[in-house]
Amino acid sequence: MRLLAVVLLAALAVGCQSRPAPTLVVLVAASLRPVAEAVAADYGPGVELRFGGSEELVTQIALTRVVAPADVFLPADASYLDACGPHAAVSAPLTTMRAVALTRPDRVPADLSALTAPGVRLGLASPQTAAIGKLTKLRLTESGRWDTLNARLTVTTDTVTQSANGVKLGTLDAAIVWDATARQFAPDLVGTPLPELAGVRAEVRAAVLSGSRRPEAAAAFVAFLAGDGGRRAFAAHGFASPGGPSP
Amino acid sequence: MIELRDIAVRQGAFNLARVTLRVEAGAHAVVMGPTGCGKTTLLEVIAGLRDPVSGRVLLHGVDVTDVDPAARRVGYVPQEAAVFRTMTVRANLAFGLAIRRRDSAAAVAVLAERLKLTHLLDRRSVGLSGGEAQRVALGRALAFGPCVLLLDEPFNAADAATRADLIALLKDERERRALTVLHVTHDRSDAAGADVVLDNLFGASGG
Amino acid sequence: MSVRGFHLTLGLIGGGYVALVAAMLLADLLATSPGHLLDAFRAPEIRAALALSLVSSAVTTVLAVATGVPLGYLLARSRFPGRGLVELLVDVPLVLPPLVVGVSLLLVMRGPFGRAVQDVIPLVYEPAGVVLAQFAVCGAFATRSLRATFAQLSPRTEQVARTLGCSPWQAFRLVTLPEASRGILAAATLTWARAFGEFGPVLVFAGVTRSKTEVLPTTIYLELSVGHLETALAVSLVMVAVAFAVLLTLRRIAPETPA
Repeated sequence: MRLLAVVLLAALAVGCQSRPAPTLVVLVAASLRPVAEAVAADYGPGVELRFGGSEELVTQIALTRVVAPADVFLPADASYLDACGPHAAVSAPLTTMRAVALTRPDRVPADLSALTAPGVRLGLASPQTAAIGKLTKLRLTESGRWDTLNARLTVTTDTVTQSANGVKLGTLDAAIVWDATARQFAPDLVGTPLPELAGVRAEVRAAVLSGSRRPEAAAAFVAFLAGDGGRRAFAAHGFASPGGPSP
Repeated sequence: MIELRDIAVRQGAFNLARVTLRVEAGAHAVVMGPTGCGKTTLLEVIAGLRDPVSGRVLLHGVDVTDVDPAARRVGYVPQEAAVFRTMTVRANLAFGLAIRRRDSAAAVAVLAERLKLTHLLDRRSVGLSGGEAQRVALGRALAFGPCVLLLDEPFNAADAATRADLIALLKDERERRALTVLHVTHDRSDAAGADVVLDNLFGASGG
Repeated sequence: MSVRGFHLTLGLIGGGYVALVAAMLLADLLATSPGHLLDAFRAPEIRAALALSLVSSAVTTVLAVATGVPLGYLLARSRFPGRGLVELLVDVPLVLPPLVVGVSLLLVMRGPFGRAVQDVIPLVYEPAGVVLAQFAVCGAFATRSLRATFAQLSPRTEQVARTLGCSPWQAFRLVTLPEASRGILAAATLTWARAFGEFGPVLVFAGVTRSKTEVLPTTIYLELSVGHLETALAVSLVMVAVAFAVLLTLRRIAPETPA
């Protein structure tokens, strides 16, 4: 037992000794992990990707600005950038996401009324925590449809991926998600654009954080994200080009 | 010699007040009293396991009231025996000598023989009968050569023959070296073999 | 009612829970495939996460038991001023939501003391931070369990050892600690299991960097975040298998039951 303890503590000490080289710390929404990993691999060494829910990452930025400042923030959509204070620089849009209805291929809806029909179990990420919920609520309130939809919601989830997982597990029949989310669940599930959701769109942008100790390197990485290298990676992972139509 | 001067103990709602007692060196004294009157508490005070609120404890003329239990050279046999169950019977008997880094083989052999424990020496002290456990506890308390022996209802679990054996053993130990024995019990028949019987020690203060 | 009928009734009531756990495990098993399990084992990130999970939960267990033994002993045996307050404090990590534990740790590290520690041992978003995040919660489990252990042991043997010539330390080490060994092992088992599955504080305090601060619960979170339900379940099953192996080993080295 004592030997075990010594060995373990030694292992831990070695782990602690490896003081990080001055790497660039990039905070990435967990839902963007595959594309961010591809971009970082293209960019070369010296980039550390740290994942989390966009909300949690905002909290982390606020709490560790001094102790362990991060350099770049790539949240699930640009609305989270506003939540974490001033930035040194915000990139051009990397992609534009549109709201779609996620269902099994044999249950594709024609319009929103198909989703709010009796017996359809519908999920949406919470308007309080997720951009898709917030923007869907905004758009449908404008068109006078929100109250109907809200009354028919079976569940509001914490994140957009959770409501998509619900459809995959069969506990939900449909969920309103981003087209980018829907593509992660292909071919089991399909995302269908609905006319009533046409205006619900969000952009993904990256920002250099104001606390960054290496703002030039951070700006270089953000430029790479928004440039050809980033665009290729986003396209390869099924994201629409910014402003353009869904591929 | 054991001497208590005006000992008072507070233990929750229970109070033991103004106990004075004197047992001459080499004597075997029995303190009689009903269950729950503070006999165990009295032994704990003598052994140094419980601090009195007031009063002094003297062993062989030395004031030990503020002396650590480890340095009092008091053998203590609690009522529940409290055998070290993770050790063998041998290790139990040898414990007081081993902790002083003294050779224990001879003393353990002699005591085991006299206490009829020889056949149990290498057994782990789990699952001993009540009588066996009491004998192990007594041997453990005697082995390191204490000058005072405190017994808390030690013959509870012993049959008549064993009881006679143990009383003979105590008498012999007292003759071989200066050993003062204080023995508390609620059973008058246990007083056989004692030089002194102290009754009504706790008087009205008992609970 | 006969004893048999009595036991049958108890079995029916308790069996419902056992059936629930078994059903969850079976459902996980059916929802994934051998291919996904194999992929999980092949992925270098997941292997690194497994290694970090094993090392960090073992270190956490050693630390939690090393602090839980003295603390549990004091709470069980000693009457010191402020004891009630200490007992309440020790229970705080059990009631705090896990994410709040992580956030609170970050707040501590933001202060002057935290920054001084961070300069010597980098904890925030570092592998050592995984241990601290696990320890913050598991220390409470170890202490609770060990306090119960010491409370069940009679203080009499330790007292007798004192009259036989032991210093307080000797009596504790030679008599009380061996008597508590089974309880200590049980506490270690409980603590390890909890540390192995700990997620919330780790996520917030140590961050999620692949092959650096990623433990298996983190892997599951990451896979779920991109809709890889099958991989997430495969990793969960790996966790269950590893936990079975460790818990069975610990049970085997447990000393036999003293009567």
